[in-house]
Amino acid sequence: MAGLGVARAVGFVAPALLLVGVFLVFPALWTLYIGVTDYQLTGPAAAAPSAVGLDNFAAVLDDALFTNSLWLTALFVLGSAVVGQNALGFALAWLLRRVRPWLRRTTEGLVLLAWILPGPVVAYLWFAVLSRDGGTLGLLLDDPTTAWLVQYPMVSLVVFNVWRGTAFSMLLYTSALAAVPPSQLETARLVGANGWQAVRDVVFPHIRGHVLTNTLLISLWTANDFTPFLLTAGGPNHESEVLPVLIYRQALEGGRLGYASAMSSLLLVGNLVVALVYLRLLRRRA
Amino acid sequence: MRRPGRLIAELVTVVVAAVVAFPLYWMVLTALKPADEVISADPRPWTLAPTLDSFTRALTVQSFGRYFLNSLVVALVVVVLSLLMSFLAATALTRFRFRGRTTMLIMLLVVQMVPVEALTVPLFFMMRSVGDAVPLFGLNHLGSLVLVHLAFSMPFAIWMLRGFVAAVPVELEEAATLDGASRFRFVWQVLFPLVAPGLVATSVLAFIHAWNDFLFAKTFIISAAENQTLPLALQVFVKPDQNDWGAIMAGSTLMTIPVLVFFVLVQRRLVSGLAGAVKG
Repeated sequence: MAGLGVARAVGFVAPALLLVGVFLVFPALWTLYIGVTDYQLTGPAAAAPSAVGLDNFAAVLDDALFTNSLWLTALFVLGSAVVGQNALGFALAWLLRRVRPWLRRTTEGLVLLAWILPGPVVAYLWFAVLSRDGGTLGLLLDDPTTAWLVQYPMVSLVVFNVWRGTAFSMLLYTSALAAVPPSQLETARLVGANGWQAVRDVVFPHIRGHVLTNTLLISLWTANDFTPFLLTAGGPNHESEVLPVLIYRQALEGGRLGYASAMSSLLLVGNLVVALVYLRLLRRRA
Repeated sequence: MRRPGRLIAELVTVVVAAVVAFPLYWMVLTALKPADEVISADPRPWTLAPTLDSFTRALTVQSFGRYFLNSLVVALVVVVLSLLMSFLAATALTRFRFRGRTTMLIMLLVVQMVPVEALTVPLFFMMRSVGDAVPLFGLNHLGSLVLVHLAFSMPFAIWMLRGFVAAVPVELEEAATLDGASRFRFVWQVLFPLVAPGLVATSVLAFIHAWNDFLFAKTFIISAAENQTLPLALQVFVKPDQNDWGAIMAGSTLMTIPVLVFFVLVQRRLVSGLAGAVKG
């Protein structure tokens, strides 16, 4: 069948590719272009933006807000994705294998539910749980004066994101663990290996590829996640202003489109580098 | 299996499930509580006088129903079109060999890494221009949201369906051809039904993606209140002095119901579908 019906194949792919090209690839390239202009949302530079070369990039890299944001994003990704979701997702997948079916399905369902619920809904939920004066957590701990989102904004965001995003890691590790030969685990048990030794020496070599895939995907999703805006809006005083929030605020609240696009470009390039490294690693394994 | 190990595993699982479930439980509880219990300084984790007052407020104030309908229309149109387009694309990319195929696949993988926020500014201008030509697909109209969500759901949908299409044996296709079935007939009458589980999982994700969106709704629908979608409607109840938590939680519960219905219908297939997509 190879080579047959090329015209039809192109006809099948064309609508999808056209959409992706027009509304994803083209705007991404446009972002790179706006990044080298002094484009503003309003004012004279909105009508006639002029090219400013790499000035925006120089200014961004020199901007304390950007450096701060970069650090917070790294913290957010490391704490909630690389460590939090990874560890909890694996632990759940590992535990759920030996749990009775109805309990497994219920837990899986709840964890998945936290993942698929509307962002604004979960943001309000957590806002209600964490706010001062009547926040649920404050009342449960009998400590109504702690405003969690204000006093510990990053910790709150990390905990929130682990709660929200663990489902994907759980699913992926569940399918990965299913591929580990039970006989090898049995052998490990017979020679007296404890749980941790079995995971390290028997399971981990089998699922190394899955760990790689999972860590990279959840890291990218977390780095690009906009939900923190709904919880803290970057505050207080920029203390939880991760990159997507900073970009959004610079662009639509500050009106500095050129400047914000330069930041977007940096985030975009960072993502692409990570994606390419990932493809390279995958290919080497295969 | 050693019994004590299993018992510990089950205990830990119950604790985790309870922690995950707690905010969800609190949402429904708050929505059902009478107003004075919601603002009470000593809230109880149950209520003895459940009431639908908050739901009534959420549904009557600020045309919540209209927003609900808007969200539903956008999400359903996106689901139908994205299923059709991603199925055709996945079939072509799996079953036909042509130049540029690998490049397309890699491109589809890479565009999934593009940060959404980075595109809001150019997309805003694009939609403004589109609106000058075809108002229905421009700013302040639901069409703009459909276009963007369709484009954003496409790469992952195609990747996911590819695995399902590839799992259908080529022999089946050859047999159909020998029996005189045309290529189109094979695709619609043999391939389409066999790929159905994958289509279900894909449709759920596309639905959730469109239904949950806050960023584009906030950016594109600026001045047309009648075309607002649900996530923004919830903001009505957030007030600087005193948030109406009862109504917020009732609105949130209502907003959750369609997702929940979709989810319950397909939970098993979603799990196997996602697992398959990641492996392949």
